[in-house]
Amino acid sequence: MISILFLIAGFILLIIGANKLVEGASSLASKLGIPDIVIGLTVVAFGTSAPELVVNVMASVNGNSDLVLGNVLGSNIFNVLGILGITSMIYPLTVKTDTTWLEIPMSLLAAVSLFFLVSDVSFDGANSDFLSRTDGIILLLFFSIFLVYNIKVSQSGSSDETDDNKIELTYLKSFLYLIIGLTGLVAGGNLIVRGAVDIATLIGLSERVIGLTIVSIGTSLPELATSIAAVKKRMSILQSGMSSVQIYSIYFLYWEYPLSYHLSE
Amino acid sequence: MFDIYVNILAGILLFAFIFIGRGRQLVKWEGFLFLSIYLVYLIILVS
Repeated sequence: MISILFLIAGFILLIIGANKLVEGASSLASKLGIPDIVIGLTVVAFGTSAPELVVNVMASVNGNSDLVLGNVLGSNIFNVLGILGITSMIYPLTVKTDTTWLEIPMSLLAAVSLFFLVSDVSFDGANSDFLSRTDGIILLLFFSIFLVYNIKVSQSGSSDETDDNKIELTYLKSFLYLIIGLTGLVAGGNLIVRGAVDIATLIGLSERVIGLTIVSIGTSLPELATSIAAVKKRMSILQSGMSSVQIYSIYFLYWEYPLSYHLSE
Repeated sequence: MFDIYVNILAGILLFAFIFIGRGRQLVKWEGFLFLSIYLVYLIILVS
């Protein structure tokens, strides 16, 4: 019972923390003269991935590598099949040309490159499949290319993002939001990892399955909420949001787990 | 590895579905299919 409470409290703290972090960081960046488009593509995009990121860092630190892997893959699968499924049932989603020919293929490339990087048994004759530091660096290089692409897109003005992301706060309030956000993220991430591992042990499911289901859905709730809100306003969430989230997840979240970990038990 | 295959399949389906039907749109039945596949995937995971 206490584990479920930990999990719920963790998700609440995580979501509030991510929101406050984005608000504080956006406001601060705006005050420092950073263009809105850059804020949208960096702070806000990272902010929506912050819940997954923090949970993965906490799980990595605690040695729960299966939870990390489950969370990253589970979030990606939930983003496409779950979130896009729900939102396109509410209202048809129009997909822009750039998204069709660049962003979705890039996210597919991320998934395929992950497959090749972890398939050490098939390709290298290793004893088990794992993601090494070198693999992580390769994923990070892909991620850098994606970031450069995002910046190019923003400079060409073909992205419609960020106008809604501008938040004006005082310096003091911005810093306060940053601190509250980071504290909420760290505390929430800790509670989720603790709760998830306890639940996995209690009901006899593996950490991987808990990561792929409860944790990945929970950490993707901000994306779900944002997507539903966007689709209700008849905005195209597919024009950049979802594919960006997926690429961020695969390239960035894998990299931040610094040690190799095993896929097969 | 099963999860990685599902992840790749989801990406391929997303790409394919954009070209099926009217315009470059994801419509309700495609969303329903996505959600159904996700639910089946969840059932396979926990069973």
